[in-house]
Amino acid sequence: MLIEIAKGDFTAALRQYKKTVPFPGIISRICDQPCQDVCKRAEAGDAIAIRNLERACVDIGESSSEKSRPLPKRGGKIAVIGGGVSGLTAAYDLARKGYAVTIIEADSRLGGSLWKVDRDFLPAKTIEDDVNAVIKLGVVIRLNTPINQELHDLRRDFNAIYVAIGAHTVERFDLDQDEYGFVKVDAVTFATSMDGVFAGGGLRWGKEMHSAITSISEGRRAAISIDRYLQKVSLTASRINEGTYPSCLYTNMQGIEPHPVIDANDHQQGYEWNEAIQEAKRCLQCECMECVKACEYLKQFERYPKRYVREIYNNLSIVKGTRHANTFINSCSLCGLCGEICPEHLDMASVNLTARREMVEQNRMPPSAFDFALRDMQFSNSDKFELARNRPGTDMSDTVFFPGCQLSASSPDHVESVYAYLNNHLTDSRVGLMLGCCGAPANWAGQSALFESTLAAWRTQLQAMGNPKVILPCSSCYQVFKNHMPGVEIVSLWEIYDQCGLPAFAGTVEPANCAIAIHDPCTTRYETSIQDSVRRIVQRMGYQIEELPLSRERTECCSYGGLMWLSNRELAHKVIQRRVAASQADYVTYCAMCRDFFASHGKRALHLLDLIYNRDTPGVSEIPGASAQTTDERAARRGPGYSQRHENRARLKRKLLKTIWGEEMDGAQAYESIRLIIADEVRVKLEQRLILTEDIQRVIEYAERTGRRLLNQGTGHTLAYFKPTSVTYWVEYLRQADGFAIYNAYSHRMEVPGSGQLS
Amino acid sequence: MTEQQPAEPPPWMCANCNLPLGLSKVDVGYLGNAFPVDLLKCPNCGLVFIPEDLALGKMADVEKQLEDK
Amino acid sequence: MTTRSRIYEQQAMRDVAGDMIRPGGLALTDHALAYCGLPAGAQVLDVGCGPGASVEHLIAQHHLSALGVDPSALLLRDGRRRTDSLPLVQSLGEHLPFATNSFDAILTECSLSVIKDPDMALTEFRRVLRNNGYLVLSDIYARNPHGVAALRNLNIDSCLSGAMLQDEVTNMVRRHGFVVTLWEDHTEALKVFTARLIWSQESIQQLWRRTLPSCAEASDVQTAIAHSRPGYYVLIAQTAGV
Repeated sequence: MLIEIAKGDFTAALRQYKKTVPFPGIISRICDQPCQDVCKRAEAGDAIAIRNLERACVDIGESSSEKSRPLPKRGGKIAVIGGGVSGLTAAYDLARKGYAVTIIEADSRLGGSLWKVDRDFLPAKTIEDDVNAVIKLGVVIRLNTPINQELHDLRRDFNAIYVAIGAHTVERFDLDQDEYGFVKVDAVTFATSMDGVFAGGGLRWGKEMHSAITSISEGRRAAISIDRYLQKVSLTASRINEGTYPSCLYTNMQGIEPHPVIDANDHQQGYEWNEAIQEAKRCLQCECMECVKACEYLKQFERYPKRYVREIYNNLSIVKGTRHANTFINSCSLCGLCGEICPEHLDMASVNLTARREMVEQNRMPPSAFDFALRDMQFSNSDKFELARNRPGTDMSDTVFFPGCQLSASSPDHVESVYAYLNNHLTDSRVGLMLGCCGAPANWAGQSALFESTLAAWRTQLQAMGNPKVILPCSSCYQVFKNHMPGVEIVSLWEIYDQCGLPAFAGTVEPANCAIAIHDPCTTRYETSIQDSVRRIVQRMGYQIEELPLSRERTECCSYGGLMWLSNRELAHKVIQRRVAASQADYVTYCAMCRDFFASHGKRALHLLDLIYNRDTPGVSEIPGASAQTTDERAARRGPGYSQRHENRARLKRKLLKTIWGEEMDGAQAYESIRLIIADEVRVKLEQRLILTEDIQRVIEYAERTGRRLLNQGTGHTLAYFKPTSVTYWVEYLRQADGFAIYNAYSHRMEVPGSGQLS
Repeated sequence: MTEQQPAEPPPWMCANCNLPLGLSKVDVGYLGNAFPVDLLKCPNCGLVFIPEDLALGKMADVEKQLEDK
Repeated sequence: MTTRSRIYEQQAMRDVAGDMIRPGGLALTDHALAYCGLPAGAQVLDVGCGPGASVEHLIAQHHLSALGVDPSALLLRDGRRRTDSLPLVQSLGEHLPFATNSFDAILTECSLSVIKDPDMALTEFRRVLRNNGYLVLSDIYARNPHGVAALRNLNIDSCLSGAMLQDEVTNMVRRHGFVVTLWEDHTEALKVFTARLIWSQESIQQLWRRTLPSCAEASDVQTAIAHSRPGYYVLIAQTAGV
């Protein structure tokens, strides 16, 4: 309502006001404003002059002619004893619900103690107008009718009774009383000792006009009880938020300038329109937006989290069609920052993750949403990369190094270095190696079944190796193991470096750039011990640590979390830009994806392993997989593209098998040997279109094997298409002596007849 | 159903059958819905040509429309 | 711009012809009629019949005594050109040139939202329907209560800008002396319809360009429409017996 007043739209404000209160004319003049006691504006100026604003709506706003029509008639005769504000409210609400209501009033007119209010303050016409609204609903009015029979008898003529006789009578009827002589009334339902008889308003308080608005509120709540009583449903269910209740709404008062209340020039007449606008503008429109301020995702969707939760709920509960909230649900990074910031710990991550699982369950997840990441995971857990080996010469492992899929994709050289380090430093431990994807993408995509089967495979594998302790550099893997494989012992690689010491060569050279900002991956949000270890490692190497404004339990996600980078690329771009702008310093992080995403936006960023293993330090070149780059080069490097990531994983496996276990890999697919020649600008296009080298190889293999291809007579280029699973890929190429030159590639999901199937 | 083809049809021909492509009605489908379209197609083996702008334009729009709202 | 542009007369909309004349097509009409169970020969009025595809279908397939009205001479001409015997009358929904109590059912498919004065139209529907007569409404509705205001400010004559909320529709129908007996969501049909509309053009942009006068407005319209979260419903109401 105040928003509308502030805009000068008094008519819209009045419409709002009428929706909430039964007697706008009366209430806007006599309300005792109990809400002012809790108005946050009072902390910076005075509480909002709500009654004056309400009156301005009634005085200035145009009342629409639309009448409130009663709903179809409902069976049930109700007597309201007492025509004061409380009784009138109950009568009004019940008549609008379609009940036959009779008001029995001892006096010669309706309104009760309203008539005792100063007439200048509350003119007779205002009372009459509002009371007429009740009469117009068809309520039967019996004036001059004191009750001179037992309620028990009256009950025979009515299905329910509301007793609202005010405080000015000692009449207690045949109802139980408390020790002070007041009628005993249930504080929630307003039920009395007699079945079907309810009571409220002044009679409960024994004081004239103790609070008109409270009497009205009680009339309304008693009407709810009576309706439920007649409908034979629970009187008490879900009534916690009726009447006054403490709100959990948090309003940040920081930086809010104090403004005193606007005084009406003419107190008698109330606010002029411009005074009302000024006063309404003081309203803070209390909405706790703390999480929205911190989260680009919530900001982008522009609304208030509680509403999101309702929308998500609606999205799931509507059986037919309607997937409006899909993009919203699938765009969240599931990082949990909102839950950390929210004073009430409302966490969108758990809400969205549940919603994704539900969508998958109901077969309503858009097929394209996370497909690419799931196929990436499938690759990692295929023969191409998946590997589990005890150290040569052993048949059991005490510990096993699990580098995860993305460190192996981004910096395969580091994986080799780390495995060598672990074998050197954990001298009393047999260190095995496990390559693959932990299953996090399936979890994020809501694919519970796939996630469970992935976990089961790892569990079996670990069992076969003698249940070793798992060493994890990636914090996403860490969370998966910690939360979903409770029987498995785990340790962060960073805690090992912290406890067992860095390689001898690390940190012996004075770093060129001394200040460095630590970005904690969002999956370490509550892993204080890992965060501490990382800081000690960085300090030990001689760097000065700059803490980002949002770090540790308040750290931000890089957009990889929850697969946001895939489901909402535009948003991911903004998220990364926001994070890299938090400091001018180079970033160091301990998640390969965080580093690569920051670097993709031109930010100088390092993986913690880049600090430890680089060419800056003498001696490093002697260890396996030693990096050929300096720290400086490492910070500036762009991460590999999607195809290269597959390639890096596959090569890493092949290399480790050969160098450590002396095994050769076999069983390459025919298409893998197809050599592609791809110009840089084409490569960029393929990355944007999420088309992998192997997709292109498959199209060419299929086309060359079957002959199904088109020929361009002008250029001599070949165009062919193939659909390995759900996406059809088109490739324009030219066969050359040393391979296939690729000119273009594109894809679609719509199905075309004859698009080749996997044989 | 109308389908605007470029003024000059691309000079693609079917490499296998050694035949020029001709316009033909094809149903492309997605999530249980069929969408008729005139596409260039080999009159012998039925190999079709989907131009890049169709795949990345209208097809992508329709995929998105049917997948999500 | 002084004249509001009428989306439904635009070639783009008329192009999506055949059985896809509106979301759900004739299949949705059949679905609604099955609920009413009208006997052969029952008198049915199609308000906003456009070129009369439903009228033709009601007569030929359902053996109903059907009649169509539409204010657009252009669309009626299209219909008569197709089948010249079609009983189509040029008229606004707010002023039906028929006697009181003369129809057993009224079909208003995707047109209540483009009628300027729906209250007046419903008064007319109530008047020309017999007791226990059926009102079959199918139309676009807005599923986001917070997106409706922006929608109403759009300067186009379209079912999308006239979309109401579910409560608004049912309350309005009830106010005019009807008992609402069925509300069904058919948003899936709207989605498929939109996909077909896109498919009939070169792209979404092309679709908007063709249906709206200028690109600048098109982007506002798209934003407002998306925010209102359009859905599609079928509502069946009966005139309350006296």
